[in-house]
Amino acid sequence: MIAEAGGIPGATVAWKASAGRRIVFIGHPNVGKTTLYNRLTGMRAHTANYPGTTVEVRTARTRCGGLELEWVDLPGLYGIEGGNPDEQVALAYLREAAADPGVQVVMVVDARYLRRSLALAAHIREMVPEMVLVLNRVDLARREDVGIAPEALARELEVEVFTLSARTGEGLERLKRYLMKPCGSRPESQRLKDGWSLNACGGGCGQCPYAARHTWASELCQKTLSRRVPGEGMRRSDRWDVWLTHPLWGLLVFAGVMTMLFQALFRLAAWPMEGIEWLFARLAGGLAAVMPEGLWAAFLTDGVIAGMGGVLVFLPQIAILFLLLSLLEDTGYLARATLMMDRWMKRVGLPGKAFIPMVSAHACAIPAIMSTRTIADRRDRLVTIMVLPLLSCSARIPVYVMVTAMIFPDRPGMAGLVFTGAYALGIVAAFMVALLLGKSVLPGKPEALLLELPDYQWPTLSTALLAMYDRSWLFLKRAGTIILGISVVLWALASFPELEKDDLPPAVLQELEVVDEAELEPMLMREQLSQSYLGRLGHAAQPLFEPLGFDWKITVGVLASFAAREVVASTLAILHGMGEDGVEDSGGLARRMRETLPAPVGLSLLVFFVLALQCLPTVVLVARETKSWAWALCQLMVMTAMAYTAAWLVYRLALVLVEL
Amino acid sequence: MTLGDSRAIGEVGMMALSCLPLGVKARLAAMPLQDALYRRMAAMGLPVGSEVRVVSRGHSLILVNDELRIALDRELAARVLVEVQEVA
Repeated sequence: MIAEAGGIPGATVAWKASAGRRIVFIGHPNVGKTTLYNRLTGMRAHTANYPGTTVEVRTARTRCGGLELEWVDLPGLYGIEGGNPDEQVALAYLREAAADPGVQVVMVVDARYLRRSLALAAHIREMVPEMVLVLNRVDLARREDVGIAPEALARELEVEVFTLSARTGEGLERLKRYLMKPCGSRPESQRLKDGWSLNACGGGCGQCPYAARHTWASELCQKTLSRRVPGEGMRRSDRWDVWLTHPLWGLLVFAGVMTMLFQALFRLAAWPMEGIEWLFARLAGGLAAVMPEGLWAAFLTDGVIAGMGGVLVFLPQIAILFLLLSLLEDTGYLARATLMMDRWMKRVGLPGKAFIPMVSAHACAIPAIMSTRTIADRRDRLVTIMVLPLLSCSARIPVYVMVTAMIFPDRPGMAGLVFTGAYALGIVAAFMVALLLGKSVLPGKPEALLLELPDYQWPTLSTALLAMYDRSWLFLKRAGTIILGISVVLWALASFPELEKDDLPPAVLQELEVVDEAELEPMLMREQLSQSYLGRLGHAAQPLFEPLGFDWKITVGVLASFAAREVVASTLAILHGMGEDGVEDSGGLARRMRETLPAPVGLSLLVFFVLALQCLPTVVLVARETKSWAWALCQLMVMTAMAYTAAWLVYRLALVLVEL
Repeated sequence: MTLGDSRAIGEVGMMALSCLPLGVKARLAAMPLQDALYRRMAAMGLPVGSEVRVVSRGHSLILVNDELRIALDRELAARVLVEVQEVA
């Protein structure tokens, strides 16, 4: 049933029945559910994939007086229809949990906006054996003069009702004490009232459960709530929305917020990234100093440590991006940004909800692809996934820096312009591909926008920090293992067969004799790489890249970077006889390359890197997310063909311009 | 009769939600949409019978009532019929 509805085959609950209890948190999006969950579990929680899906569910285990508790934070959901993969997982989980007597469901609602949550509460109350209702944000409700009668509500619903504020901690202790009581010590859940049944309908529509529930919830609210006019929170948000969703002012604010986001992203991440590079260089250096020289030392320093550094160096940007995005989401602004962008994205056949993944893709396509799971429609989700890797991720930046510095060494203004151009090319290409996909293999219009705009509020730092921690950890687990593996394989390809002095051509031997001591090592490294398996592959494949102006060295770099882009700078550094230290000084590498490479080749290389899908982890992830290798391989081939054609065009054009 | 049919019954004196003037309170009277879409709207708090006002009308509409604020595609809003309740 679930598999049919949303394509989650084999989704089952990863819970082995034990003597313990499960406390499951559920609720609408934007009711402060995760803040409450974090408040109760803190750093003990960890995020794991729901089996068979890429939807993440947070779980935490605690012990309390011999009782084992498992705390589960399900994704937010609006109804029991299961729209997007998030909602489907929450529902699948609830349905399975219903059969387990040790399950306690905690339904979290916003105390100010009780009515619309009550309908969902009613549905869930029917599904599960035990439920308590938590009225969150009671502090805001008080400030907005909303009177709630929790006792009356408890009586009517026949559930325990808790009023609290997850933000301030008010009322938290009572809920905690209740949840930690052993199951047997609480009264059995009572028989459901007739009014809860899905079939009963009083809304004038015989077959629709919602109208009936809505009427029932309205009546219940009239008995238990003392306000029926829009509260201060609503009115304040309405006033903000006049400006923030305005066709002109809204767009200006949006441009400002995005500029600030990216500025913060690149500026703040620069220091920790330098720190990580320094640390791993020291680590490799230290290890090389204490270990006897040989294959093992080379494997550990150049293969493993360099690979780990290659993964960790991207962590600061991913962490900072998700910290900032989470803070923005918490304020309520991201929903408005989605609304503002919907109009423009729709023109190229992308849904408004693709906007946040597209922002994330500028740090890394992997978390961006994972975040498309908020898109319910399969066509919309596929189009989004197909275009995300075209956006310039942080792994491309070293290449952009290197190439622009190479072409315009004395004109930082022009270098900056070309750098920006590379970014713009990625965005334009993404929109064009979306448009073409919509006109060919993925026809249809994006789903109509239907988006809740939550009240504006101050963000919670702890929630954002936990989101950052979650995302970073997932990136390390997912991309980290693959990138590390690739680094080791690349190292092996570049290190074997080992260089024998007798194998060197006489010309090189002569050259070796005349160079001074400092130049000797880089030269040997270059020769090693040149005659390694990777080097031979580069020589063999070079004719293929000849039309783009690539020599065998760049070809080796490009081939190596198909596994993971970031290795191109270090590969080129070695090939141009600079040793690996060239990576740390891409300007130095650029100077060296400029001597051997003309500007048209540089531009061609730049365009190739903007458009090519040189990232094996992304291909693997796309195959998993779309559940089809066909889509993943198709994406790889189309992007490669695009990159090749565009690079060829740019190379030819640049050659003509140079001659002029 | 399917769900869609039961919602499609129009009445005299109704107008499309997309035409509702700003600030005017109205009741969602008929929502002849695909089932999945209707159910989604209903789950978000906009079933047949709920009261809304339009506070902003650009490319999308922003609908509010005392408990929610939802942005809705204008094309979608054109397919929803409302009954005017009172002028604010």
